[in-house]
Amino acid sequence: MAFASFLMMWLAVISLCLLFAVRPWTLKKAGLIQENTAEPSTASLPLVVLCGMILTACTAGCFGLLQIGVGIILAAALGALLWTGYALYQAGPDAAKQRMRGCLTPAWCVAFGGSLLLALFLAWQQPMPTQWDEFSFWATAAKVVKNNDALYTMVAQTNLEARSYPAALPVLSYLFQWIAPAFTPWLMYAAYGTLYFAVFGAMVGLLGKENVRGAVFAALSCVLAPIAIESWYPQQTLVAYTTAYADLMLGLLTAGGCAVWMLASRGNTNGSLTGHDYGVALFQTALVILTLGLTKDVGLPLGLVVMFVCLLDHFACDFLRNPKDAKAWARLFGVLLVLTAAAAISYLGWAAHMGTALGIDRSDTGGSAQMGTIEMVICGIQELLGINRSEKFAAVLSAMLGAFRGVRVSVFGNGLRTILAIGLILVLAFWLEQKNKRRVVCYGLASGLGFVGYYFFQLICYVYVFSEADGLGLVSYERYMSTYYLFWLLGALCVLFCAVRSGHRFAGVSLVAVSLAVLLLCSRSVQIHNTFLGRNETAWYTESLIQARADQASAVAQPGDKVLLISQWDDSARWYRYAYALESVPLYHARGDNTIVLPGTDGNYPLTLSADTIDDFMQKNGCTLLLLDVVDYDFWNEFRRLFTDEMEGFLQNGQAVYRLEAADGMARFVPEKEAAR
Amino acid sequence: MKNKMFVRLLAVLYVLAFVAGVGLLGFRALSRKGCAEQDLAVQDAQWNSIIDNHPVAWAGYDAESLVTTDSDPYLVWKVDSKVRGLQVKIRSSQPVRDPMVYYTTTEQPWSASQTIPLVESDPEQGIYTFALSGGISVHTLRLDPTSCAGAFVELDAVTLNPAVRTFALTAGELLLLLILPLLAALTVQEIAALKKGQK
Repeated sequence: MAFASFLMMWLAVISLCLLFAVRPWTLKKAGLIQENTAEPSTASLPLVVLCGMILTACTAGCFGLLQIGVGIILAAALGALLWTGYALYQAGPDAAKQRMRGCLTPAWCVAFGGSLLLALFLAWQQPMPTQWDEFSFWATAAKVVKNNDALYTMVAQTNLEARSYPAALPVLSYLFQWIAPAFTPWLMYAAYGTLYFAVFGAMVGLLGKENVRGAVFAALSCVLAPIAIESWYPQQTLVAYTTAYADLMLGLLTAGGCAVWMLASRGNTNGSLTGHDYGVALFQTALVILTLGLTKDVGLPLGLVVMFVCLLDHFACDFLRNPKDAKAWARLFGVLLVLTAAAAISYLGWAAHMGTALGIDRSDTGGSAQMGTIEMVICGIQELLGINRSEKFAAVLSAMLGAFRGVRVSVFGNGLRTILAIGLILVLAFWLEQKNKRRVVCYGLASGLGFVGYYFFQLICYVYVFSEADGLGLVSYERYMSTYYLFWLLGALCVLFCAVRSGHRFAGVSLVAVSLAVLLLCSRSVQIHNTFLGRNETAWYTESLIQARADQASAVAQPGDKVLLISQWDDSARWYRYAYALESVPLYHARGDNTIVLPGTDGNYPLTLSADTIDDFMQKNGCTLLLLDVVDYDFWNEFRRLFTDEMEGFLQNGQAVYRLEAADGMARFVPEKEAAR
Repeated sequence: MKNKMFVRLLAVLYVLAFVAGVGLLGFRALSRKGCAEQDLAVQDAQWNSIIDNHPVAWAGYDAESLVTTDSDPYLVWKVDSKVRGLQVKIRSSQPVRDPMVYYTTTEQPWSASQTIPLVESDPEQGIYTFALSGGISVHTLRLDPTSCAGAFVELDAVTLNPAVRTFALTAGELLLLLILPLLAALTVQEIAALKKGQK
């Protein structure tokens, strides 16, 4: 059933793509239609259609109509299939053949074949979430959406704390597991994989549909790119392709936006861009930017980076042809306005939803400095220029500058080496490009300036949003930067693919060389058993133990129950795992003191309880169930007399759930047996 | 290059890959010798913040189990030999913090950069392993069984260079053997196209 759920949505994407590729509305007249030679590229359709589906479902979800949104998408897909099929049947075999020829392209093979292969692999492997923030937000959010058939902002009872994050990825996961009986983690990864491969498909499409050999190598370098960027140090466990985190996805979507733009406006290397192509390019890119903004907060600056790349690209390829024409000026401003508006609309739209659903002001970044986004940027620029520069700012600035060369961010090495590698690809593209070398220069310029902006944005986040220790320690620096480096690398590959298409004699060999170089670098510092391909159930052994204990609690919990988790020495990692595993059963969380540490021992988060107060504490906080996870000898020594079974059930038989009841005139913990089903 | 030639080339390359795979298996079977297997007994180690005379047995751990007394317990062995792999079988009443292994190569303090990343290869048995193809010349080896106080720890010996009898190819090698011939054939085709000057 789970795989059927994936297959249904996968086919829905194909049907919608077919609709726009075959364009049955142009098939009204029977017989063969003389097509103009420049057939529109179909390569960007998988990505654009997926973005459209995410946006439709998100919008419906914001009004509490998520189910209806999915219904609309499926109805549209079915309608598209019927219409396309009928129109092709009507048009006769010759016209049908001609239209379908536009569909069997390397781009679609990569987009649909790749995602199907990945889904088959994941269905066999059955991966589970393993990383911290998957439990604190990304996977838990997807689970909440699936279990409640609604956006998590609309759900009253959930253990998910960060409910103000934008919802594109959890909604994408929901689409692909709509008819699955319960939340299935591998379906979530398969859904994200479909978006990954849709981006790769769009990029491969830049080579044109005749270059099959080139497409193999292009696809190889695309598929390796997330792994190459995620690999910071040897022996590291790589999660690309099985992570619910948004960081790599943001990089992919940013590059995807650029690829969609380059695809739709490719006509302008030969002649001037027609009004229709221009409109399509704007519309498709705007859809990707809208999705970017709904993926994570940092999607807004990244959306602006896409806008900037497209703007300069349009400037180089179209505007400079005829700069004195008023229409050219209008078009240039059109790019600026429409794409900026797209970024702003998705940001403000979600802000409005946050305001009405949660009563939270989005401009309040809630960080250590308590500043709004705009105030943060202004303050940051002032301090960067040396006006009222605080000690923290100076310290973080020097740490950030040091990290650029001191921290390994990819298989290429530190930031400088990674940029050199990307620069090398761009130099190669410049040499290969036959028609419009300006395009390469403009991409280098735009993405370089974008990098400076992104680095600055990261800097002010560390200064104003993160705590003192996290900010100065540049916490998760590699992961945050991986977003931009991945975009930059993929974007450079896009430019290279465009250049290869322009027909230089050495184009094919150069593409092979680049791909094999990436493969060589990856195989030198990445071991396959550390990637998603090599993982097996030992990787999620802890998660399955926790899930089993949580299931005990879910099975006996009744409405109104609240769980107190005892997991001594936990640094919240296990607490979040339980919050994910329990999902809708309320779990007590006093930030940082969910661990019970007895007086006299040193723990990270002391909550001092004496034998007399553990039941008081539970009653005061409305907890009715006790969930034992990790307990030490001292706890047992001190508290076992409160348990009717002296904790024997926990130690011997894996009994994890106890109910607080009054027995023999005092509060006692009674082992909770699973109710007969 | 014509299609027929391409298919022939591809077939030859796959046969070569098959031969290489078989050769790799044979080489692996022959070259298992080298670093000798060696057990480091718990009694031979120098203990820090660990006792083995806890008054009572608890939670399935007998009274002779190791018990940690603060949050920085560790055992240190003098090794002075080359280490290519390592296996620890460990069970703890507080499985919240994973075991860690530090090493030194000369007389020097412990450092966070000289750690061996253990892989929990058999979680049910509590077996952690580490394998390194090149090997490290280890002076002293330090095992932190956990970083919790009051944890009961059951620890068999640490085994250096355990004799692993896996003759199968790893998933990675198989994948490379599958993909590389195709890539090689396509590369040759690309270069051939270049020579002919055709597009």
